[in-house]
Amino acid sequence: MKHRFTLEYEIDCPVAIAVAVYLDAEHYVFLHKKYSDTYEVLSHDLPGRKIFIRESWELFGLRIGQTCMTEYIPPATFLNYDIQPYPWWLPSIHHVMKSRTKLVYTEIPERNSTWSMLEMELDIPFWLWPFRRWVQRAIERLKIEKDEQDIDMIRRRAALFGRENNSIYLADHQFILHKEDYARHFGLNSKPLDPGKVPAP
Amino acid sequence: MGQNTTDWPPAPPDAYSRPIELRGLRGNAVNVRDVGDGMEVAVVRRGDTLHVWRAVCPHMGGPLGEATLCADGASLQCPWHGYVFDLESGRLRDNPNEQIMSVLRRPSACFRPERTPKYALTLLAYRVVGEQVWVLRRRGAE
Repeated sequence: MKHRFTLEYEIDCPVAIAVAVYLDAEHYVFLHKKYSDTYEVLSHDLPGRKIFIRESWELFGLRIGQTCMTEYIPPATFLNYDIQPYPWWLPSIHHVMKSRTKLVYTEIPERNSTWSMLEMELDIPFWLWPFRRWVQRAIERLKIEKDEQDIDMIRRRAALFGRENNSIYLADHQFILHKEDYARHFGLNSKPLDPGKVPAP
Repeated sequence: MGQNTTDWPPAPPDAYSRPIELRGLRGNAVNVRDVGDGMEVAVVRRGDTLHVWRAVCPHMGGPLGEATLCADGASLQCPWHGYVFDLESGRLRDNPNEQIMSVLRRPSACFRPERTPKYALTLLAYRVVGEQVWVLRRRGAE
């Protein structure tokens, strides 16, 4: 049984910054260490912009977590799917529930700001169906908390370096995921985004 | 003469306006202080030695007042990206992401992994006057 919901709000920064922060994987296990302190790349298909990852954390001396396929669709769409518990024998809701997320950042031109829309699809067995709202709230809470940490970082950087300054993400020594695609769409020679349209590569 | 404890001993002429109380500094920990004029500094006290630097990470501007002092006591780690800086020299000592992301760090037109950035903390000079530390408006140790 499919339960779908969306989580939408404005992030007060240009899309180029919101996307850069998402692709800036170097902050995942430091700024968000409360949620996961280990990030491992298990396999990848970089031309296909897919990276299969494992995120884990320690609980009562045991390292637990999940594996997940991540996919980037330029300029500003991010997919997560094939989520499995780690280790495999770990009792987890992911054994019985399949989830798939699609996050899309869209420009709000009048404010040079970003509309964040997370579409979530949960494939739930019938006996879990009565608890779908509870699962939804837990997912929403996690997403909002992590976004708040990112927004604090975005605000501080905007105050220090300027609202639209993404130069550090483009610096040749700085690693971010799918950097060629990012530079193509948000780099110095990129064209302004047309909301709702995907620029040609 | 009407002098009070905050006016005497006199502040060094090139110091920020607000002194740090030496007694209030926790040892072997990162202390964050507002020294006036919009300057926030982080201070580590190791024995009789102080390390004072601007509380802004030179990499992406992270809040170094929230940095973690590493187990060796001689370096600290930024809370945003985990970059590790040497307390003595201020220089970038380690970027742990080079290891974490090693399989993805491939050279390309936009990314040169061999280019190590020369980030360094803005170490600030200071002067201890009585029980107060005055942070000076220049780099380096006093």
